Amino acid sequence: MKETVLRDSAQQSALAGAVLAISGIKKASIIIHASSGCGWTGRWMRSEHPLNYVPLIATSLLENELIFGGKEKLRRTIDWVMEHWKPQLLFILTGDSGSLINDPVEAIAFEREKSSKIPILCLDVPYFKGLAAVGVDDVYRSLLERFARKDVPKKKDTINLIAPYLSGSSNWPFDLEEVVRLLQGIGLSINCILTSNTSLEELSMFYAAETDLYLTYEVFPQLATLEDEKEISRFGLDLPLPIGVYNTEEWLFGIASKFGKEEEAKCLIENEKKHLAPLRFLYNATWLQTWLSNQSAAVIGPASWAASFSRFLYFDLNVYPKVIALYGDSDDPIEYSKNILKDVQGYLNPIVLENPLYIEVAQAIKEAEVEFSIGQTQEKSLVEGIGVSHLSLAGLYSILGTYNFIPFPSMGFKGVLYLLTMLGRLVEETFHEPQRWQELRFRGREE
Amino acid sequence: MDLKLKRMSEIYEIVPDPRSLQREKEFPGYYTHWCNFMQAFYHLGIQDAVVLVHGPQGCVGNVRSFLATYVGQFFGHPFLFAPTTDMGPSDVILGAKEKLEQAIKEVDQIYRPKVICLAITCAAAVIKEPVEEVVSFLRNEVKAKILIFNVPGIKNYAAGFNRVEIANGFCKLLKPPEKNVPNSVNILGIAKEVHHPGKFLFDSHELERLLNKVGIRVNSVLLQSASIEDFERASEAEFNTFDCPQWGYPLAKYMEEHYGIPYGRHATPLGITSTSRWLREVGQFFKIEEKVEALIKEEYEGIKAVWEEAKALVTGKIALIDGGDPMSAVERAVAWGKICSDLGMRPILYNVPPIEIKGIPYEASLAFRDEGEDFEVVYSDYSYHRRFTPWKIIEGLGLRFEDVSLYMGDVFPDQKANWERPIFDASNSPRLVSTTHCTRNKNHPGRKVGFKGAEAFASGVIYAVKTSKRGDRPTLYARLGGLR
Repeated sequence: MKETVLRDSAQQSALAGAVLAISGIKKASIIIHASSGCGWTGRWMRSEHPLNYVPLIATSLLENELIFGGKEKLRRTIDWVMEHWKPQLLFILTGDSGSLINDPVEAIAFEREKSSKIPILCLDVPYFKGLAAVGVDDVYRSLLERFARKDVPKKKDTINLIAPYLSGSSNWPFDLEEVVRLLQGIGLSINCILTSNTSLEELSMFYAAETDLYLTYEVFPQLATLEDEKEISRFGLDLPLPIGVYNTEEWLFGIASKFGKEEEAKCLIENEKKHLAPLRFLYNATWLQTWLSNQSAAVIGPASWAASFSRFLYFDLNVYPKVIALYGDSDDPIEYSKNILKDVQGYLNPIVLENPLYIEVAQAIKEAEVEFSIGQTQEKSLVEGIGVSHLSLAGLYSILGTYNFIPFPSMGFKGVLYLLTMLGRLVEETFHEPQRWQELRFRGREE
Repeated sequence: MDLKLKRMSEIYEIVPDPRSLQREKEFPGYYTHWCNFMQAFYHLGIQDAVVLVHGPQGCVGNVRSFLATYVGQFFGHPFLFAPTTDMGPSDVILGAKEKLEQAIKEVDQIYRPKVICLAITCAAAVIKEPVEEVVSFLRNEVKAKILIFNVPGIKNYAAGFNRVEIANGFCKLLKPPEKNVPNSVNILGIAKEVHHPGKFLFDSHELERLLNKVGIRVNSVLLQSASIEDFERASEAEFNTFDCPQWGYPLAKYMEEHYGIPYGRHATPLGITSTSRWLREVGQFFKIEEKVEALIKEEYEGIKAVWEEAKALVTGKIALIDGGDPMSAVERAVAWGKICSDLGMRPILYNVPPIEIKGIPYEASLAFRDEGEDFEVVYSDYSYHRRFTPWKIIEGLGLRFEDVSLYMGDVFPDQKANWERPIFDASNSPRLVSTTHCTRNKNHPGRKVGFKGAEAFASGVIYAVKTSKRGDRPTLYARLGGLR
């Protein structure tokens, strides 16, 4: 399709990204200076962090405040939050309406910070500023500038983990735990996670790490500037996410080789294989893999996840990902994804769509005649509406319909068990014949 | 906070106009927690339409993460294409008139839709983009019809009036009649539900079943997921009936004013009395009163056993009806009030902000003016976002727990986390979930209209009352509320 000014996807706003990142900070609170609907966006994003509750309120700007200003409302809201929630850190985020009326947010924050002695960070993150990664980057920059100590000595074999929620996996909270376990398994220490249950003390030590390991292909230019200044290397952008066996091996060896821990990685991988050992003797597992083999799929989702998942389908399961729809908040994640898909391209010739309109996704799926698709719940009705079954594994953890309560990873060797279980449901949905059952069901003589 | 009860009719007289600034003085915080655009979005999804959003992509990302997705998945509404102009920082300073122009042309060419519903969100609304000018300029160039909906989040007070505006917007799809379809009606105000065969029945299916039994044909069902043709032929019906008046009334008024089609005065027919009233109005119009009386008798006989059993369990008791969700606190609560009242209960509506009685323009006023259903509402200056627990109501009004026979709550009904006292758990108080998306029963309409709906409701009441005798075995839901 030719270039278009249109964009139609499930991608979220800068405001949503900012809330997503802040919700990983312990004892923080959020005020959204915008209409109440922006508060609702924030509440969804806050739910992403199941183990860390960050209170959030919107000043709920209405039409008349756009003319007369909303600064009194903001002052009242700050006072209320300080009195009732007693945060250790307060963020004030401006959404579209708050941003456009240019209320003196920073001046009010300065005044209130002085009286309350609680740090208040103001971020202008309207929807029109960009997509989620933009807001995430703003939060990272503001946190590090304010709280990260610049004089901390470097600690050997120590890494920070960056943006686990932008990995694109709807199971990210449990995937993060598994990633930490695997990294510790090769002798690395986790210094700070940006951001998941992260304390201000952990943030203060951020610059002690040698490397920032990205769990997403999204990029954060402001964070990159700080990394460069403090000599922290960025890593992980040329590795697949550890989804499935092949990807996990490549990811672990890639990290291990950077830190000279290849032997530890070999040992760990040998050890991790035990999780898969029972599958060898499980008839159901061979049955499922036989079903999946030689089938064609569409993979739709955030670029980091969709590219890695496509590799998993192809290299581990011999499923052909004929359509791969990659969504990135900028061009970089698309390019990183295409890079790791190069070795799939060597065998298959999948249609790779870059930030496509949903109508393009539908057309590609119809033309490629795939048996099933894996993606986000948001496009389930689109894909099933054209007669192709759909499994939701991508997107965010808390989006409605992503019922996901079992604390088990979808990444690493262990994650293969999770993914096979999910794919088993997909196989049933794809190949069962309920319509024929209904039409051909037994009918008694009188019916 | 001082709690008292007032009738809907009294409240209607004393609260200010929800659109006036007096609103903020008397009922501060009267606005929805959903964005106006989010509420509007899925209602714009008529068949073969594309919603073009003049605003940032994040606005669509937001609605896709909740309402748009679940309405599609659970109510059968097909996937809604919603391209955006993806407004960026320079657009809000320099304006995005050309971008909008190009976007409209591209939507017309790429999607080839019958209708483009052009939705304006905050960024474009605040900078006053010349949307009408652009649309008018393109009218002859673009094949799709273009409807404009101004739905920024900053306009999210008095949500009912926003809905009226949306319904009015769709009136542009109506056409003068080419013919008259004898013995036909339209069912107006189907929102969220889809009039199409599916796994579960919706309101319109039950109403159509009843109408067909007395020889009345349903001409068009408007407006959720209706086709353009449904709108265009609507004026060929002889009479307009309502399910939800919020969405239906503006269409009915338009059709009466422009095409002289009369409309009924009864809506959301829940319970035997209300359903009979609704059917009798149709019977009277078509002069088929005898047929309708025979139908009512036959249908009632079919559910009499279960209805009477439920009635015997709850007559004379109180039904606490939690308006709950801010956006439809009145709509649902009034409808449930009708069926509870029909079972002999005294409905008390709470978590219905008093100003909402006027803020949802047609629901309560139709009920007390035209249907004689004037329920008691907990009156205080509480507004949205500050929900009372059932206990607060019982204590505040001096009621007795044992007099409450039914508690109807929504998605997040508050649990009273104190096992020393009775709580509103299914294990110790008859409790029915009233949220529309979680109340499906096989072969019965989810929102319980008509006789089939009444049967399902009565059956639900019986199960709820029996389960409440379980006493000391709380549900997981209650345990999560902080219980042992």
